[in-house]
Amino acid sequence: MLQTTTHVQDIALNERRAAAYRSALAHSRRVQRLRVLLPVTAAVISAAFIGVSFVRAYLPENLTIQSATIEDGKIVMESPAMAGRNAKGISYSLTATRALQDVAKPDMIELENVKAAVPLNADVIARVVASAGLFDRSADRLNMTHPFTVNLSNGISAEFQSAFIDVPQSMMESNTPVRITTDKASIVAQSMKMSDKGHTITFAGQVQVNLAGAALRNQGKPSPAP
Amino acid sequence: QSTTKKMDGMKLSNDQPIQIQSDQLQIKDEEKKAYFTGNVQVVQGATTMHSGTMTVLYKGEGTTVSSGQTDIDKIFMDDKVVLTSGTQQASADNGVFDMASQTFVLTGKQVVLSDGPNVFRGCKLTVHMETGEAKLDACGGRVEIMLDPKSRPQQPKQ
Repeated sequence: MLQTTTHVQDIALNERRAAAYRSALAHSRRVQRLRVLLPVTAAVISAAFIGVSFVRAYLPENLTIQSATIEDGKIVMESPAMAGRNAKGISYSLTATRALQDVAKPDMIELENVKAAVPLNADVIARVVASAGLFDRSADRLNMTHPFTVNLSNGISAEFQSAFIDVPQSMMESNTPVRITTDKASIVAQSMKMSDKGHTITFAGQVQVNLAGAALRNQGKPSPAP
Repeated sequence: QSTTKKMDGMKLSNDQPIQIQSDQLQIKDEEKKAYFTGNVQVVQGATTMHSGTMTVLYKGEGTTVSSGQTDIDKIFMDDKVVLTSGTQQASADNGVFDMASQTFVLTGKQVVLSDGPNVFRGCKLTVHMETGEAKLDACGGRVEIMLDPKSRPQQPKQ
């Protein structure tokens, strides 16, 4: 009689042993997986951390970006926005739909669809809209390689083929044809240089100025609209 | 001693558009001046002016050329000024346009005013832009007038 009960116990014991063995196996497999998984996740996390600080280190601190991915050696930032104050404490801003930064040349940032608001002086702000631009981080200089327009807050609009804008110094220079128009006058020239905070503008090369009659009005004689 | 002549061509009406060409233009907001340099040419209607340099002084507090609402106060032309309008031409060393008094004064060692074949020489020519009336002064010397005997009024050659 005794045997049968031990027999039954044996079976139970075997099963318990098998179960224990199986769970041990599962456990060791889990451990194995973890042994591989943990370092990998650690690496990924640190890589991401390094990446972000890498990106953060190379971007001006006042730059905010929506997201950054790295594609073939270039950091691609979505809708970057940069704002700051220029030498005179007037705020300037620069936004783009995308910014590409070559990891090898971190100071040069290619911008797509640029919108910039650059204060020329205390009372005039220049708003720049351009399809492309190259921002030189080290010199805080925006190289406009494609045609673009600038609308000054005082009603003047300017069309450029190319130019570069020194953002903090509020200085703009273009050695390609320029066209400036206001409601009463227009200026066309082969080049233009704006200096001392926009207070001095020098046009050179076949300069042509067209003044509507009203520009000569004096003592406020009402003049017909040009 | 001076002679007065009618130079209706010289009227610089302030309602007609003006075109200015030059090699360079520098606008200095704070001085409210625009410096045209390098064969400057100003054209308004039938009147053309050439000079080496031209400086436009504009007025208006705070308004600047870059702000578009500018009123021209004075125009200084230097370095061989030549003013031509139809058959009339005047040449001098420098010229000043004063918008307020609507006068244009040409001065120089030799101010030469010619109307077709007739030539007048003096040292100062004052043109009232609204009337086109021009007064040539000899400043002490004598105004030289060379009238072409054949200068009968005939169709001004364009």
